[in-house]
Amino acid sequence: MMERIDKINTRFLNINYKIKKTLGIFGFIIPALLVLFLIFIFPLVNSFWLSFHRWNLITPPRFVGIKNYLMIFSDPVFWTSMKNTSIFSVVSFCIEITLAFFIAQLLNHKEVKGKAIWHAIFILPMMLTPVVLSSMWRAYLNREFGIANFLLTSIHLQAHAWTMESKTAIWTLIFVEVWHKTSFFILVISAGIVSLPKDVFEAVEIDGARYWQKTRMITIPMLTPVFRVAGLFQMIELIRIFDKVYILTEGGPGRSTSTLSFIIFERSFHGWQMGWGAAMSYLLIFITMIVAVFLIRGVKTEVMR
Amino acid sequence: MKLKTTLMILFAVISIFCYGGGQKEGKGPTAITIAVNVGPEADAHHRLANEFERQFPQYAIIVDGIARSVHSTKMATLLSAGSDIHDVMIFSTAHFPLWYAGGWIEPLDNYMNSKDLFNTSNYDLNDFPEAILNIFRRKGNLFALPQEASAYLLFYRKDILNQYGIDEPPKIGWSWKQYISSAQKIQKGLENDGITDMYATVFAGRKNRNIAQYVLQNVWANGGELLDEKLKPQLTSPHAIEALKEYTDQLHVHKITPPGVIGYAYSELLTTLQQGLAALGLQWNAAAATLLDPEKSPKTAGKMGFSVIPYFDSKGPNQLRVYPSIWGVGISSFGKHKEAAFRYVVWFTSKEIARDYVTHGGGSSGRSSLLNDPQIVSENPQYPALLESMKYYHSLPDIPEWTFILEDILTSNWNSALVGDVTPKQAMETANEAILKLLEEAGYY
Repeated sequence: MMERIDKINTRFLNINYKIKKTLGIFGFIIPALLVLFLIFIFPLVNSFWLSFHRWNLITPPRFVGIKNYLMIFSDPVFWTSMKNTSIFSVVSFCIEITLAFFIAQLLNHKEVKGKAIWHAIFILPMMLTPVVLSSMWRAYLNREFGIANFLLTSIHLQAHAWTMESKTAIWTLIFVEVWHKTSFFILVISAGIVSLPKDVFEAVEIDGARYWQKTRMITIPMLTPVFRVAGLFQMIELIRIFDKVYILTEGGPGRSTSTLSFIIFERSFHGWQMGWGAAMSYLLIFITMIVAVFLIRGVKTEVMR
Repeated sequence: MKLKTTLMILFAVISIFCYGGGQKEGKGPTAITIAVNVGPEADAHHRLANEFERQFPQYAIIVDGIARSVHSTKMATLLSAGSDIHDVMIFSTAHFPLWYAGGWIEPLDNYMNSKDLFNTSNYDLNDFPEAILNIFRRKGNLFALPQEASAYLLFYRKDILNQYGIDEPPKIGWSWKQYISSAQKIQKGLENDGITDMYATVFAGRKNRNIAQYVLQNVWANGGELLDEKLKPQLTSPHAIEALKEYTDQLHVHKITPPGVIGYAYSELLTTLQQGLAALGLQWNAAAATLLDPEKSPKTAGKMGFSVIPYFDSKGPNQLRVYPSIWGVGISSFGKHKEAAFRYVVWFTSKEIARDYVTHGGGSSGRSSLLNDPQIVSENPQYPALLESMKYYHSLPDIPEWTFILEDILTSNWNSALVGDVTPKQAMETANEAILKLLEEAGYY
């Protein structure tokens, strides 16, 4: 009997202890959860709700169902921006990762001296904020008094208004983006190269493998998870590009460099079409998620392999 | 025990969040918070705050400087949420339609009718051109008093005009024919003299509001309108197309302007004039201060002249054609200290303080007496042209969608025409259609 009472008491004490422990834990994290709710979850839900309304700040929001989404898909400006964003992100990504791969390999070559200094030099562009570097390049690329055209004309090549001619504007944006963000890939790929097992390379060198064979058969496959993870972060940034567009081209000439984020900004903060802006933002999130899922799945597959 | 401790800590944390919800009402000066653009405007408010507090010790001034690039969005966000942070707000003609429609600005007339708060004769409201006051008037009520009035002016190099035998523009300005023929004469003269890095004219053709403002001014100068009385766009009229053509032709037909002008904004335009790379320019009057300063602009100081922007011969110089850029000082509808705010608004825009504002590089004020003052004009020779320009201020559409029409529809289409991607006719047709669709969706018809 006493044993039974003791067992019941112990069980009760255990439950009591668990309740106390749980309450204690929650007691400490509730303020953080509150903050998270206020600055993240609530705005997310509220903006999703807003995407089904028309709201221009001065009249109460009016429910319109999926009209905002339908308006977006029937707007030629959206499709132009979609095209521009796709070209910009895919081309920038391909150039950045290719360039960074070869630079990282060079920087990690055994015969290169002062590796740390070279790494520091190559990652300098990444240290600049997008607004500062965009302002810098806007001055450099000025048609009449920019240094780029000065150098070109000094070797008898033609000057251009690089950021304001339809044929060159988007490629100029890509150039500036590549100049800025290749450093990020260099850093990540360098770290990946350093962590590769040396014995594998020694073994294939003994077998007489050449540089391209080593690169194609060993280096690239072994670095694929690194590419995918770094690529994931960078693709998200590329799809969301705004700052460089705003400073360098303002979406022009015409609409030739308008990106998805840029038109969200224009419609929301010039046109005060907050419902449209919210709907477009969710579409952008959806597009980004598709790309992210595609890349993450690739990482998982590699890890499992 | 542990539960008690946990609950006590939780209570303390929540208390920290709840505490400090507001200032206690009590003794001490009443704080008046002013929302103003960072730059010369905010500098002036900072500098003059002590003087106001000295004259009115019952008030304390807090200047909230907001970066120019985010001023519009930040203020719209705060005001749409009914924020009472600010008592006094400085806003422009671009902001006014939305802020007025939202009921965010307090009408000033009730306060102006109070003799305690407003001394009519001292203040002299008639010192402001009627065109400026009308910008901030709705249904007979005045919603702001002007802090600064600006306009595009024709900047010209007196020495270059003289060199190529061209008379300076008269007070009423040149017609477009005169402007283009003078520019062609200058361009030919420069080429004959072997000067290849200088052009006759320059303007800001980048895809931003500048190009929209230039062309819009020209549409008005040519007797056209952006919208009719039913808010239907009128950009497909021959007047509107010709207005845009005057700018595209400078680049593609007459070739009297730098090719890079398609990428020029205010800063590039200023640099071009500053470096003496253009003889004529259409630029905001604010640039005059830099171009007249021998330290900042050794090539142009003492050589610049100023006139009103060109008109069309067929319509004459009296046609309303100048884009009104006016910054007004008003009272927030949500502010808690409206009378105090009104005192500040009247004080800051009064003759004495406006003189201080003008003479310390704040801007032009908008008061005729200051723009005609011999001492001020001797240091700011652009002011007579500015005062003349104010006579031709054209009103702006009074709809909240105006900012989008200006900064998105007009800029993108007119920049496309300037770049050469579309013809002026195509650009106007596309812009017209886009405005029609926008206003239709907004429920105007």
